[in-house]
Amino acid sequence: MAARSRNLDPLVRWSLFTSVIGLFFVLILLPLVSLNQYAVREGIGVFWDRLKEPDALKALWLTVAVALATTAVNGVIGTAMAFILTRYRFPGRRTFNALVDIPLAIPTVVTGFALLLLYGPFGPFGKYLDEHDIRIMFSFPGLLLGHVFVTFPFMVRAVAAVLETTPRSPEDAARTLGATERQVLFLVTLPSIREGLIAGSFLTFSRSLGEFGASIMVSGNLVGRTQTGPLYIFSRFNTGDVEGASAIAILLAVASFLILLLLQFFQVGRKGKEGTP
Amino acid sequence: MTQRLSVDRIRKSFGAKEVLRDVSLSVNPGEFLAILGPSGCGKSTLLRIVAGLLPQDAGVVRIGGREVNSDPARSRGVGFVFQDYALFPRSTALENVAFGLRVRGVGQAERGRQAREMLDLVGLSEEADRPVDHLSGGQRQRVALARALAIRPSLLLLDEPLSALDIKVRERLRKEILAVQKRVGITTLFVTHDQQEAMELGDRIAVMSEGRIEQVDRPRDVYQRPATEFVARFVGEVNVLPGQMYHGYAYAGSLAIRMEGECEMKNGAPVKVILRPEDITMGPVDECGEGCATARVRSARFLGTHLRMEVETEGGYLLVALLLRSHSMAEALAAGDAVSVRAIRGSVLPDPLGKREPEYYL
Repeated sequence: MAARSRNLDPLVRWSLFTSVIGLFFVLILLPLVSLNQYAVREGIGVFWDRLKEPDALKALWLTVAVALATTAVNGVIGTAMAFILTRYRFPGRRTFNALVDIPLAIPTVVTGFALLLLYGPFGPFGKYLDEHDIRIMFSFPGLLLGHVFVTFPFMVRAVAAVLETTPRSPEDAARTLGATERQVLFLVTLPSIREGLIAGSFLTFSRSLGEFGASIMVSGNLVGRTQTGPLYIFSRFNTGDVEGASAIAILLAVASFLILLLLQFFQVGRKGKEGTP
Repeated sequence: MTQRLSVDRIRKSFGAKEVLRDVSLSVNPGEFLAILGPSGCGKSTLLRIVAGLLPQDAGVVRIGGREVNSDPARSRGVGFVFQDYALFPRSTALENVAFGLRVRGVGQAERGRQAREMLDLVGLSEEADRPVDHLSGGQRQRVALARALAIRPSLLLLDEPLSALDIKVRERLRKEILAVQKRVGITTLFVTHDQQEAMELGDRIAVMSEGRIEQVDRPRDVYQRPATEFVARFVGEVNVLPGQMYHGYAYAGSLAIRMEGECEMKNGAPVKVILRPEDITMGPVDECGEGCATARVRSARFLGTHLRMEVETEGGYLLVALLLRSHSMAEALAAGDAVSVRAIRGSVLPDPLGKREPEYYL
């Protein structure tokens, strides 16, 4: 690659370089800078006050709680799905495999709408649940359901990618050495897919932090109860509180960035430790 | 501790493909049995069935006389060494070797002591605390061997353990495996597609083809008296010639072949003559007497220790012969030369499709 770019006309190379850098500034860096500008426009003290507002804190806490719960749920069912897709051969497996990615293709707001129709007060499921005093929509379980749906492919793909390249013979070795199936799972299989689990968790968590479309449909956007961070930003902006919106926005942006950094750091560290056979 | 293994009429299919067809085998306590066959002949499947890693469709596996059909792999007490080492990554050599003791609830100090003992046995005491990812292929496979032996198994199963290694390491590890096996005295099944490996390691060799066992014998007998044409062709190079029996000799044209050991073929019986290239010798063409055939050299290639020759006898038989470099004619022979060809010894197989020689020949 380096050798080829040296062969390019210097003028072409220069203009390519500057346009890419320029696009990066305009598309990515500039919006973040302006976000920062708004957040601290009234001074850092106002920024803190905005953050410490009870509704803001509740929204942030709910965001983290939903993201953690989503990661936990997908950690289990996503991993299980990855196992089914990579370890078993059954009719319709390819179709099944393609279906896993559906949440990536459907607009999240449509997902939220569909869940609302199914579990909402007028939906077939919702009616039944209502009769038994179980509330899913406009509450934590509804948010969780939406987020699990939207982030499902991330965990499946991350774990499946590792599973596909992990040989199964160590599991058989463990069996011949006297391990029970439980011991095989916890001492051999799960440690061997640790990278996939961690990568999938980071992706799921950060995706859940920023989830908006499905959240706004299924949560009802109830302030202090079902309002997550992104919904809070939207609401505050709509009511003209730009500083309040910016304060939470910058926090979410920084958190997502840190997660990304952590994931990078983790993957680089992993590769550095791995020996070449 | 070491036990007899017997498998009785094992059958296994994967879908429509029959992988094992009524395989029966008995391995004596302390014996080293090499299972030799081309890839896809079912030898690895047989090993996995013995270990309990795969259920058979029919048949019985007995270890020490006890039927173990319904025992899962973890309770069969069988040490298994895999082709790809199957070590637990990101663990040290010691942790790998101690794994079997750990899952059996042996305390940390005790399992460390026993695992170190096993690493000593395979000559890896220095590498005990190194992560296995940092070890060489040969070292990894020795860790795998120590790990399999650490649970004091009654049976050791090795599934092509050397085929992922390069030739030098392979040859050294062969000797080490044999030494360790003799020292521990454990009944061992060793699967390989490499005949050299099977010969060097096996007290006996079981040759498999297409899900069947073709022959179980000492290496010498497998080589010199193959039970089937497949065995003859798979183990070493061979000339297979149509012939007839006559007073204890097999005749291929005018070439007479003395039988290796007992032979119960009747006079005139059609046979396939199994003639090893190194059992053919040559002389000057004018010295051809009884039982000898004149031939023309088609090609002669110098291979270091010997000359590999292709000759065509006057009867039209094409023979491959190996002539030692020290043979008096080895220097001079070239394509086109006329020679006399003699067979030192050989063996025969019945040839049900062969022609009976007319009476006047007898």
